[in-house]
Amino acid sequence: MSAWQGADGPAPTPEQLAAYADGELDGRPEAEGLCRRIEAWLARHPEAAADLQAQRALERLWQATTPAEPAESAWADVLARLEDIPLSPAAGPARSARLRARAAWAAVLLGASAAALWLALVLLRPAEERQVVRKGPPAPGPRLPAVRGELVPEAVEPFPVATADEFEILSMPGADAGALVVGEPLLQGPMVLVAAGEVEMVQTEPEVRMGGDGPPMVWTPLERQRAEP
Amino acid sequence: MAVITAACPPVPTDEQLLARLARGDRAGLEELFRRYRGLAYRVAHRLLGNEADALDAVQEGFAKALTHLPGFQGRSTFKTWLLRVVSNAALDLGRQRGRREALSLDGCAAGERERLDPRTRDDPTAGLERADLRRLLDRALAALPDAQRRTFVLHAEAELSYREVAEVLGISIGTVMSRLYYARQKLRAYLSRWVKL
Repeated sequence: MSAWQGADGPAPTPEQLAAYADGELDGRPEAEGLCRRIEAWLARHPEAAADLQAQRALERLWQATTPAEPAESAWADVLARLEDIPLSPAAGPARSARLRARAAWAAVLLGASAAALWLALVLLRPAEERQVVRKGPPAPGPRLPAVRGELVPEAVEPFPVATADEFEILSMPGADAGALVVGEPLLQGPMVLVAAGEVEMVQTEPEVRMGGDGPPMVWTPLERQRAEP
Repeated sequence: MAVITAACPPVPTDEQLLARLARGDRAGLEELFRRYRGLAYRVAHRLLGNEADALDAVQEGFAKALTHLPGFQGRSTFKTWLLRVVSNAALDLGRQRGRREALSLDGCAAGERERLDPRTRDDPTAGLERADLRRLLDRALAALPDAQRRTFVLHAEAELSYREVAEVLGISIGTVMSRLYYARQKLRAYLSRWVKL
């Protein structure tokens, strides 16, 4: 299938058209929109039907050349040789399923025991000790995190997971849109994803200029793994 | 005349047959072999191009499946697991036996080459027997990179969905789509010299 360049809206990719012709989009609610878009696009581009017909012609050729089955005697020979192979002592999926079930039960029991132990430790602590946090000044350390816009009441004892200097912010969604900037930018230069020698350019989209007379930007969608001709 | 009806015994599932096999019941092997030998053979034949090698690949694939049965976790179906093993075995055999060299057009006999050459015939599609078409397709397949050939054969011959092919090969659906696209492009480019597509 040839690569189309849609001048009147985003054209479906050749891979999407092939998937459409293969029936891979049928019966998939999440692909309904794409299906409708492809059908509308095909109605506006009847020349693309030739590519779909070529795909079907290849299928017919494929089916017309299905290899003939070997003689029954050939199968009998193969089976006889397979019969000579000793079976592995360990059972396959049935045993694996049993092992998985046992592991799941063990995990559940372990979790329940841990929860019971934690509850016992909390409830059996002397009452004075439990009230220290409520009566005393706030303990130094990191502020309690906001929960749905409200601070956790001081009466609730914090469960220490980490101190302030034990974690590092690696990324923050929307951090470049607001006013909050913490520390230095994580990257001091371009982020290198691949080296030049690791990429083979197979096909590029039409050049796009990001305003002005700057250099053209060549781009390719990330989700399509073009690096494999 | 009295009509006697007998209830058919339920057909055991693959899982039941595997469980039997795991208990040492050889009948499970025989039934699984009968169930999937044809499919495995057609896939191997497409990957290798001849019956003898394809039968060897099927035997090796089933043998590996038997010896690696404990490694089958039941996360995928037996069919997709077996096809992975058989197609692996077929590609290994192909590499060992130099399938590409045997099937390349350079290796054609002069007479056959002339017969297939469209310049020596008025109608590029006329007179092509099924055996000729199969040979052409075999050569076109042999010209594909292993990954594309395997992906295309699993989809076209084993009729696996994109998702199943992705599962067999341990790749993403996007990669399956990409490989199918390039495989079809190359097959069409190759075959269009002889066949109208």
